[in-house]
Amino acid sequence: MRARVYEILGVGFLLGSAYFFYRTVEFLARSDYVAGLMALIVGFLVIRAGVDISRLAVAETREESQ
Amino acid sequence: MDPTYRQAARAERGQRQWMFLFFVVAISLWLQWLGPGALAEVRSEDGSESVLALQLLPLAALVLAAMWNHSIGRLTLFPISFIPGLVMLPDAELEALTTAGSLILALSTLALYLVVSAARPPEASYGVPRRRPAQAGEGGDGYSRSFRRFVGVRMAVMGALFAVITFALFWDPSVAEALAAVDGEAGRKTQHAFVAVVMYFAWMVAVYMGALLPSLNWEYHRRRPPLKKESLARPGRLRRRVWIWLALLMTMTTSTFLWLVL
Repeated sequence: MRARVYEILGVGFLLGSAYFFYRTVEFLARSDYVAGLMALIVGFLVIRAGVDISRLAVAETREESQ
Repeated sequence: MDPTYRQAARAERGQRQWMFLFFVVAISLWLQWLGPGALAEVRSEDGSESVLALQLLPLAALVLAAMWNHSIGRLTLFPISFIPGLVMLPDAELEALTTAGSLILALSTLALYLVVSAARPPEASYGVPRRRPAQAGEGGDGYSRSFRRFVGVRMAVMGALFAVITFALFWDPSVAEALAAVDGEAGRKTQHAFVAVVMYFAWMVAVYMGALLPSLNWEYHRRRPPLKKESLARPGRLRRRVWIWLALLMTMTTSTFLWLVL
């Protein structure tokens, strides 16, 4: 059960990064490069968090099945 | 009917269906990328036969790729054979290929080709029973179904991310409005191209970070590849691979050089 929650959270984080990438396009189109770079970094950090939560989900699945 | 024979007949049917799909997707890719260029070359009065040959090269590579029972070879040979033809593509056809709609269609077909190419079913073997898929404690880690789901979900998420970025770049009214505020037509185009390059690069980094690397880590863990020289079954194969990559590198460098000089 916990593994499923982690998996959904992980995928949710990966999907959530789309918002920050979208905002990056907006900022860059307005030539606001600093804001664009910051939004881009936030997008990558959200992906990184999603990857680590997914890793927890994989580890949890293995523990549950043993 | 003998179950082994039935299984082999099913595998053979699967092979035929795969071959059909493989050719349909690959030819569709060629028609989108190089078909218009080849047609223009044939129609043109001062068309060059060597350029036409370069544009037809992927069709020859396709036959080799279809026969090649080696997944990496199949995946790379056909797409790489497009490079010389693309370099020689006339300006009008190149411009038509790089519009948003054509580009998305061409990249989607390429992705489909990679998926179909990688999913070649196993060869039919009459008389010899097929090897069972790896179970827990038999070489694999016994999580192949959850691995497939893991990869599938991440591919879908990255596809969605690509769609969001492409929508924002080409169809979003607020972005178009912001770009319209840039001075001059040339300035607007440069700004748009700059944002597109940055965002597609960011997308590739996201795919690497969020989908490719986690999937590969799991795959390597599952396969436990031998990384010591003495434990490799055929060490000569690695050396050959290095030579192949060097040959491809030389081809790419020469193509780029010719492109810049001619």
